[in-house]
Amino acid sequence: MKRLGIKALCLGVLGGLLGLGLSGCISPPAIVNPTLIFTDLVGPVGEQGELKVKVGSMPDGGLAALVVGGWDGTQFLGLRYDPNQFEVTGVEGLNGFEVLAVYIDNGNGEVRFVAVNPHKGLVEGDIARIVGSRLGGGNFAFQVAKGNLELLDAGGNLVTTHELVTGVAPPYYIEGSK
Amino acid sequence: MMQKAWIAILLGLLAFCGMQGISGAWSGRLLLLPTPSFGLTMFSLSRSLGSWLLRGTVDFAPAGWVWQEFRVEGGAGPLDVEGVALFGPLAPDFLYGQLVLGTELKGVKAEAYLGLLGPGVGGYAPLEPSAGTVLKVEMRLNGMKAGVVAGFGASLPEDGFTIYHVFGLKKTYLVDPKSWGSSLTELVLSLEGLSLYCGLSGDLKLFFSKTSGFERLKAVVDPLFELCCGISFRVEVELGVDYKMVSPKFTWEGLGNCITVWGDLQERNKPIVGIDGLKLHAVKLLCEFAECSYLEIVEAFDATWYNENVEETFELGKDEDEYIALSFCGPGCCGGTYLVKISAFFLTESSLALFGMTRLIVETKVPLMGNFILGLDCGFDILDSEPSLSISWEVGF
Repeated sequence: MKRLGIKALCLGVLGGLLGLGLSGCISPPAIVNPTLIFTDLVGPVGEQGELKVKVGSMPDGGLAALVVGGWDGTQFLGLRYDPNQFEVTGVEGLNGFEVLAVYIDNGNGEVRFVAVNPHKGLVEGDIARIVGSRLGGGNFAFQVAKGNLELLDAGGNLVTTHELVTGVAPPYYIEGSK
Repeated sequence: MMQKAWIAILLGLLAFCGMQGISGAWSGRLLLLPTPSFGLTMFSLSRSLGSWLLRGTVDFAPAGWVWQEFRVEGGAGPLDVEGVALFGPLAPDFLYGQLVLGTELKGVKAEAYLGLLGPGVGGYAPLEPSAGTVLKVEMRLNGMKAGVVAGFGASLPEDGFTIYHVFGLKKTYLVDPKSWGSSLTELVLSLEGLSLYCGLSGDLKLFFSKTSGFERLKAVVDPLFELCCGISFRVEVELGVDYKMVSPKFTWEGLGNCITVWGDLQERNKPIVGIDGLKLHAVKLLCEFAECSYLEIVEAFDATWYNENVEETFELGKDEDEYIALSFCGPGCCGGTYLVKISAFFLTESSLALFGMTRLIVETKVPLMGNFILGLDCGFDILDSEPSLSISWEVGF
């Protein structure tokens, strides 16, 4: 009888933990505004490293074209990185996106590119992968100004009200998407 | 950073001296050539407290302290408990936590998995902490195994959930905390060992998710039938909301024993299912003279496949695809065994080096005490004309 009581208590503990998970006391983060994301750099030192360019909640049929690199009123710049830590070798389109032009300057740590999807827009997902060699294990932040970006939706209209997230080169990382 | 690491080791040793019933291990490597530096070093301390085992493990890379893991395993009555917490001094932050609770009641096995991912871990998603729970219930029903896996912002990936460090180290755990666990995100109902006909049995799985409700049904019959020589035929049927997929697959388990052949069948899916031929990945010849004395010859037709699926052996940048190793051993100090392994690596393409040899490595391990093994590794990279020399140690207490 006592043993059965202990077992029931254990199941109760499990049920309680499940209840905690279901309680709703912690709320999920969600992308609600149109967002362009340059993810963290993923890959070990001395081998291939890469980051992805993703979008979330893109309006009007989704994103159909992206220009990284432009005049923001003061200077013409693309995505910048630490050239002592990362060396870009190429940009690949994903999910139907094609990379029409790429400019890589590993001396100063800058990459510019134009990616388009001639068939349809993408509301949520990966649009490109920036690949290269991870030279060092030091952390650095990718930088790009909003004014150096141009986003076009499936109707050919500029997406002006978007949020921008840029990643870093963290010492700890997971592969695949969370 | 290295100073902090040594302070941590000293504190650990002091803790060891001051406490009874603690055991531990320390292993590491000191590179002397081409450039003197520390290699990977691991230090762990364990202590038993009744039915509980507490363990702390710390790893160091040449750049410094990589991570600190605390683990607790034990039981309270019928409840089994296993907890892990991983901290990253380089972030510095809490990286990952996992708690597994399990019990069995009248043949019903119930497990709860809790996973937490800290803000110091990056990846393809924006940096943000996440947490989730998975509840798993399994029971035997007339010889079949029925199971329910419910994920609340988490899942249990087949290959585990791996956290990487930039210097090549990794830790794999059970729970993938995908998002905050406030609601049911996925549900898998499974039935394994389902009896069909003619003595065949199969597995059935139903997948549901929060976003799409019913996602897919997957049925696997493996093997449907067996041909000769280890070749078998399996069928996998997957029915989704808007698709149907039938995957017939021939598999070949390869050959074993003295000669090992890794390969696969070159399948023909259209217009009819069949086999076009054999695809060989690698061949290994292993001649064992005594318990740990052997000659090993590996010819990899696909060195990348061999590195990924068998053992990290070849340096792909040097186009290596063949190696010969001679290993021998004998009785050493204090009941231990000394070990010597001589390995030569080759490339089959034309090369200026003798026989296309790329590297020569001699590895030795000698027990100096009952709980102390010293290793000496030396090698020569022929293509780069660079010697290498390192000392390694394994201490247990």
